[in-house]
Amino acid sequence: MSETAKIFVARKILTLNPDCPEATHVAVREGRILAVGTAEEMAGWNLPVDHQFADKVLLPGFVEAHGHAMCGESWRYTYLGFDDQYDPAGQCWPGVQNRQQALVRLQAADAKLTDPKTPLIAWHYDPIFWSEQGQLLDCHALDRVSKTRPILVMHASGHVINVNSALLAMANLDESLSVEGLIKDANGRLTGELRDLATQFAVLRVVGNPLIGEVDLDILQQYARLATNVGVTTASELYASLDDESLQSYRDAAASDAIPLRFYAAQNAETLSIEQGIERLQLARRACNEKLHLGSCKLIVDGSIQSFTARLAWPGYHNQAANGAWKQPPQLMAQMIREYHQAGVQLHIHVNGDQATELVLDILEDVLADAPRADHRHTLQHCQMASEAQYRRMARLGLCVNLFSNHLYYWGDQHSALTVGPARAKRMNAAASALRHGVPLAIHSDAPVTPLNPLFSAWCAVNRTTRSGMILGEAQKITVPQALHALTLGAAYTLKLDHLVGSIEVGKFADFAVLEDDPLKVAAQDIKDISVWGTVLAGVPHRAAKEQASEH
Amino acid sequence: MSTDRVTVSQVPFTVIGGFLGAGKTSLINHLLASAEQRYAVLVNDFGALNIDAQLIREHQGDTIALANGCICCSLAAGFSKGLGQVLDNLQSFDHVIVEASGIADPARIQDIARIEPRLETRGNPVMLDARQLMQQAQDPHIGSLIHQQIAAADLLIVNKYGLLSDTERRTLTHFLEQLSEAPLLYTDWGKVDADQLLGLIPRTHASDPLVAEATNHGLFNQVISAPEPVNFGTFTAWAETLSDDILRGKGLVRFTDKTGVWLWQKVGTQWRLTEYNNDISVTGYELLLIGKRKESLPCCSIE
Ligand SMILES: [Zn+2]
Repeated sequence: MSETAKIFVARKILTLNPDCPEATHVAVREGRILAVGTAEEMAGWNLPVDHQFADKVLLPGFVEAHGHAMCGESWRYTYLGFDDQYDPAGQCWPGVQNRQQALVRLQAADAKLTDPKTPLIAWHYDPIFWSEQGQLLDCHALDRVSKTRPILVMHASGHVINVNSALLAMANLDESLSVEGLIKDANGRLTGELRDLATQFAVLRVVGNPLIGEVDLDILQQYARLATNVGVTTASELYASLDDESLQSYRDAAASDAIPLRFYAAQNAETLSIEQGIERLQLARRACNEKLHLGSCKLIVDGSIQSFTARLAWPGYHNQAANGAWKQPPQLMAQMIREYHQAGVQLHIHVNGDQATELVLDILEDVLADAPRADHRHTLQHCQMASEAQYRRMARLGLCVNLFSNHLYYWGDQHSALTVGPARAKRMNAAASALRHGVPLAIHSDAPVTPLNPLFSAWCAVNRTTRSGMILGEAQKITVPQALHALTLGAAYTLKLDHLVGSIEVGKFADFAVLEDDPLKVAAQDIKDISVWGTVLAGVPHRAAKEQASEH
Repeated sequence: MSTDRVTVSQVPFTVIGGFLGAGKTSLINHLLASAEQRYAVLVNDFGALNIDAQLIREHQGDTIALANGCICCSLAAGFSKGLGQVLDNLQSFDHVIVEASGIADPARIQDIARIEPRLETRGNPVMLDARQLMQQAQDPHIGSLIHQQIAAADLLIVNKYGLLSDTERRTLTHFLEQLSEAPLLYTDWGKVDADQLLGLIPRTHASDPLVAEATNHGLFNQVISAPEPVNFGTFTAWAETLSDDILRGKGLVRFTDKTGVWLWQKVGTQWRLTEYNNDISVTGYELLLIGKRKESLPCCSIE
């Protein structure tokens, strides 16, 4: 690795290192940071100087502490999201905002499939934002793409599927059936919209279960490409299946120099008994290396706020919708938290609603009283509705929080109008409260739920601006330096990787995000627009994929 | 296609509901031990695959093959995958059984059989823990789920029944009768006859305002009891002053100034007394109340 020994010169280096917050030179050797500071401070090292970043700004490589490798798989399918989004090759797929645009894109995808039996699968369809609510992707519209090939369109919410008539027939779904979630029009005819387990099971069985969360080497490679394009050098899969095959894929990805990403995978605890889960984690820990970090566990307590499945405390949903659903019986959740904690495992716990947060705080208070453990670093994931009192409790119990600030932009208007109402929407993803109460803070994208893009996540936490331009909770805005911390060192802290990545300090991995501009110098509302040149991983530069002009 | 639904030979499909600790695992073990048919059992409660060791022929990953031709598999790799595997090998089985977790709605899983032409819909038994049910029903976290499970049942199996007193048994029965018209079956150790469990005809489920209330806002219950009879006038006055929040009431009462045992029933603001079987072992009164708010339920005896 000695050939990578060199000194990078940059316009500016923001280190997040208190001893040297800003620098111009960083020396790297054996994939680690050898020195950081001024030109004079580099004089003692007889190393070649690399000027390629002389006009760039370096930051510690961004850390995505709650993402999913599935975003690498999703680009195998046709993108129908409302917003523009970039694929791993760096190509921009314009947002789809009406039926005509959707059909054009689906027809183009259909024309590319040679086998007439291959299903056409599309993802991130988001009709709640379409202005023409009378013209959606029902089965009649999808039949215009193909009457013979099965077509399946997944909604951005993840809870609804639309299919064409060919797929309805293949899945034995017809008008004579009366089952929940098989949506019919006023005349009793099928619309192709499927909302519940049984109907979705029937169509997914035909098309072969896309996007169920299993990884292979290609998926991890695509995930790494998406990461490099936005300056991320450490990314997580926060719902990993660590069966032998998947584990091998992670090992292969970590071993490949062509995949410039450190992987962190938290095991999905739902598919195994607690005993099996702990055993699996012990096995997985042995596979750890500099680019692969395993051993923690993910638990899911409730659903999501925008689909009314999160568990809310009084007064519940603003639009009077019934309370959401527990993902596990609370009694079982308590047992899982207790036993994993006692086995020394770090827990990432998905809680969206404030009642779910309260349940976990109650459980952890009991568990920690019986089995105190220094530096457990259990982290509440999403935690979008926590109250001031709950933040005080998190601080007392030594918990970290990883907030879903991207929600403020994507669904902030819906949250204010429908789900939680204006008063509670103002303190959703309360980053300022976390900092005020000393709760270690990270911010995430939950990609592919929202796009992987730390500068955009920072923009959300700093500006708290919704899609319609409303400011959602002035008091919970944080500063740009605070947001950058939450996306580097703060995120690394929740992964117990803060001694390895997240800041530019001697001895840490030489992982950098290479930006075209200085996030501390541009206006706060412009940080999302800073171009990313690429990354440096272990001292080796990796260029972001360049967008090519193309027609989709 | 509608004709296909009746012509293909069908394998019956049963979903067993019930909350953690109700005794579903012992029920399944009992069923498998006495199996004369080849069952495919899908366990939705992960990690709950505790099959009696004597029954096991081989154990591969998440699937356990039993000596009598049955298999048991946990839906570990996801519901779709596990159930998909069973459907791919449907000819090997006489009956498919899904053990639903306490948070799943058994009716929604049963919809799978309504769609799949090779499956035949059977009624859903739901297992309840006799000792914990009344408490679970007013738990702020799981109360609504308990009510939904009861409402979705075609047979209510009350397990661990032997541990209850006579009064507890009667109030529990009164409680379940308020919430469901499904037949009740009392048992211990999960011992239920296979035909009774797996041969159920699905009921038509009318939507019940009480269940809707429980789902949306939660319901609370309270049993008021004493071994001594009560004065008729005192009782009437007590019943009249009950809060409007109390939606249902049912129970048995003896009076100091009236002979026999009386059945008291309250729906909304209306209540009535009817004569009851005098042989019953009630010496005073035992009254079940279901209400919207905990604060509205009377906490002590009738005075
Ligand atoms: Zn997630």
